[in-house]
Amino acid sequence: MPSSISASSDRQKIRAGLSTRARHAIALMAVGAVLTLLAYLGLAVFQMGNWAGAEWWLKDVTELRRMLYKERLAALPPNQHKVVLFAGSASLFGVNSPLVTETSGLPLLNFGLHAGLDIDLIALGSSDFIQAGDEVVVPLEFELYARDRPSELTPANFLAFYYRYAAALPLANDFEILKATSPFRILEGTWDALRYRLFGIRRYPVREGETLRQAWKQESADPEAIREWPYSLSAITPEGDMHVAENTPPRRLASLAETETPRGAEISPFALRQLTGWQRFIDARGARLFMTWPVIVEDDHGTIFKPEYWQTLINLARIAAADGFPIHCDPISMIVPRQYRYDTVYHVNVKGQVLYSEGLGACIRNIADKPFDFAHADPNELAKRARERVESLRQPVAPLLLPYERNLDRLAALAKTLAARKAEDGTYPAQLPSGADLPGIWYRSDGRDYKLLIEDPEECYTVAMAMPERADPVRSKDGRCAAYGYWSAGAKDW
Amino acid sequence: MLFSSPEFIFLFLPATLAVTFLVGRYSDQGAKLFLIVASAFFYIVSGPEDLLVLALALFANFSLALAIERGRHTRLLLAIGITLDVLILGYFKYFNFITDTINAAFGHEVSHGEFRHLPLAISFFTFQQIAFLIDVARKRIRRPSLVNYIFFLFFFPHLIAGPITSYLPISRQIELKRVFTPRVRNLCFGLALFAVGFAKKVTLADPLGAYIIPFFDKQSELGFLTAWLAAFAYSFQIYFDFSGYSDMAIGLGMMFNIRLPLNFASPYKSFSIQEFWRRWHITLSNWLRNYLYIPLGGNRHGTGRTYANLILTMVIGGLWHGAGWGFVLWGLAHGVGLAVNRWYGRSGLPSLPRWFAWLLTFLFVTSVWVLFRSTTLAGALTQLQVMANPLTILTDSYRPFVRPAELNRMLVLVGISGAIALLGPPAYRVARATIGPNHGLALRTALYCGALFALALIGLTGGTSKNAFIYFRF
Repeated sequence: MPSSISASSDRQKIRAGLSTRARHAIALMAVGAVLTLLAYLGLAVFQMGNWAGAEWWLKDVTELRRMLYKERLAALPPNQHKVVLFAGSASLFGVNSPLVTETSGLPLLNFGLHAGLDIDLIALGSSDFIQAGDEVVVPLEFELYARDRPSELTPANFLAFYYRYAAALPLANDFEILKATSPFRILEGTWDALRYRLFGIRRYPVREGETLRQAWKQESADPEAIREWPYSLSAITPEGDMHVAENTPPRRLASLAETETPRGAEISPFALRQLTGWQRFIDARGARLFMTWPVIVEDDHGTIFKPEYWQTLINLARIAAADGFPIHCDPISMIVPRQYRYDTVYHVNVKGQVLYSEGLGACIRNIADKPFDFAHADPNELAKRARERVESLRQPVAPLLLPYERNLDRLAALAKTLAARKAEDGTYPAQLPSGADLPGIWYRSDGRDYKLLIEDPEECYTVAMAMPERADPVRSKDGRCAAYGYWSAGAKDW
Repeated sequence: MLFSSPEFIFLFLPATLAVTFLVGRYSDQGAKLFLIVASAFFYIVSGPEDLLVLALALFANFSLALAIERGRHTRLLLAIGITLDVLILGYFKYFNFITDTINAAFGHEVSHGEFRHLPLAISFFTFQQIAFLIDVARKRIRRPSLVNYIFFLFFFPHLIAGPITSYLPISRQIELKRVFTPRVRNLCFGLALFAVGFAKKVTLADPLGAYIIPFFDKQSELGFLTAWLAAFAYSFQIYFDFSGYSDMAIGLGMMFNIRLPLNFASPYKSFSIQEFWRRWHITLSNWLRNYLYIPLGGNRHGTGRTYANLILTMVIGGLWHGAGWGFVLWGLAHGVGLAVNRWYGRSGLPSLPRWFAWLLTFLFVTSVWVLFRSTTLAGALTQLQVMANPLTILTDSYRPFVRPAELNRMLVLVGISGAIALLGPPAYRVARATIGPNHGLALRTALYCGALFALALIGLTGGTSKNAFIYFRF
């Protein structure tokens, strides 16, 4: 009997011992998990400031602007109210700060950046410029209203450089961004950090202060740099705007998709949370936040001439107002015809920038009094007005900033003169009037008819897009329009 | 709800464990019923109408089982039961495949009719029910209990994608007294195995799955190297996905003190196709052997019939995975592989060197996975042709499929996956070490398992892990 009791007691002891060991093992599992998570957090912090997929030109643009804007603010009278604008690249390309300042009467700091980033990141760079009495104007791209999670670009750019301004964000947002960060991104950033610390090698030069200013001066002085790659310091003006005096690169024409946003009228909880956060931040600073329209660029499919498009915008404005973010001003004044697009349906060139900025400047003047009246807006009427605006801007209007605009203007004046001569003498002159010596000009007349052209294969496709009736049906190069101008009916095929 | 989702890990699982053990202190039956309800909730997340299909099938099968047990018209009732199960599966899984095949072959326009949504888990559910009916008819199961039967089918760790088990082992376990009280060693083993499976799924299978999508979407653009890279990547993806799932399922079962059967035993270390099927999806292999191959005659009717049975069994096994010719061909290839394997073993020819046998087996298995993964048969055949033609290396480029950084990540992942699959210990052995007699080893292993769990959690960040388990589709 005693031996049986002893055996049973031994078994119990062994079982108890094993259970205790299993408890220790479970505790160590927890320790292993916590240590690994802490190590990962450590790596995330260690690799901050390194490239790993970030768009480094955004850092350059943000820091250059901050440097230039600090200098501008220092030159302004104390307590001068101003406009701080933040949004995506529609404003980076679309805003002409001097023009908006002139039209609105308030100095403007343009923090338009990149719609691939989230609202938080876009706003971060401007946060310490917002002061009491300022108007913070946000012509938010439509896709940013609907985005429901951090974009792919947000973590990469936050960890590379925007973390520097993160004091304006609640800590929870930092964790949200870390949650959206691929572990591969952290590992690659770590590799970059190690490479830099061990061998001094960086994938992208980190330029700060005067080095950055010199780089900007050097790059912006090179006219070819913009053509090669405008997403750099090369196209930044002293006012911090992106100034691209180019038409759509022909290779990009085919990829210019139909305007896809807004796909529907919605503000995602993610976007609303970010907007609300910034509303609170701006209120706390004693400034005021105003939402307005981004540049609305005509696409190749006539989307903006359809009432459904405007109905979506009306619905968006209604929802935004209900959420406490009324959208201000008349969206028609923000429309830019397609010949002034640059490389995407949101980016405009220097001429489109002027057209949008005139509308934006007028909007900003007394913006508080101009909420968009969605309750009485008629989508059919808006579609009609959109077409009228685009048609009115087809024939280039002043300022004539692009070569083909100036050419068309001169050709129109010459055609008028020729018509007047025909009315006077009964025939068209055999030669052009003196002083009409434009490069590439071509003129022929048999007295009864005439044809007046400029041979310009570089920009002719833009004319064919905007005013197909001005593109010469006879001359072409590589299957594309090569000359544009005016002619009488009988000379069309000359 | 996925085992690898945060809501499962941090909400459903702890809450279910806590309530089960709390109720289990007072009543085994109460804990059992609670687990049935929790499992139904786990399933309902995928759609309540699916639960109805499963519930109806369950009650029909149980009623038939009771009728079979009475001993009258056993064969007829069994045939009715099996036919009913096959018809249910066929209606949801194969109707469109059959009508598409008829339309393509005869130029008919047989309509698909209304959209058929494939209820989650129906393939696994059906096989287990057929096995149950056969076991009742063979009198291996006597006086089945409805509650135990529901528990056996619905117990959430194996509900969706196995391991395929049978009624008796589960029923015996849940009949034990105080089965639903916490046992620290089981909990430790279960947590460790779950952690290993979770890490396999999230850190290896899911990223590989994301990278191979463009390769299989553009099979006509593949060259020799990219085609093999895609095949290897998928080979490791499906292994870590399904074995990871199975490890998690078995680990979860152990947390509730329910032992589920082993499903994987390092299959890519196999030296023959026959060995591969003893190590890959073991519970399916067992089911096919016990309820299909042996009833077909197995190896009892001569050599030719044995080969035919092998091939037919594997073709049906292929078709069980999915309604498509790719799955049929995949099953056929494995059937032929098994037949050739058997013939060679009995031919008196010299044994192959072990390294060559392993390489041949691994390359064969990897190649035929292409049939399994491809969305079209034409695409699969194109890729297989390219894999057999080294000259296509001349025009090969990764650029249509991935960016350079992604290619680097993919190569690293394939390398790591290969090393783990071919050299690493099986997951259950890792988990067992945490409760083994060697205290130092147990603690070290536990620490590693905790680290793996955390790595898997990290793997959930950044949208890297998006894929549901591959076998959830079957």
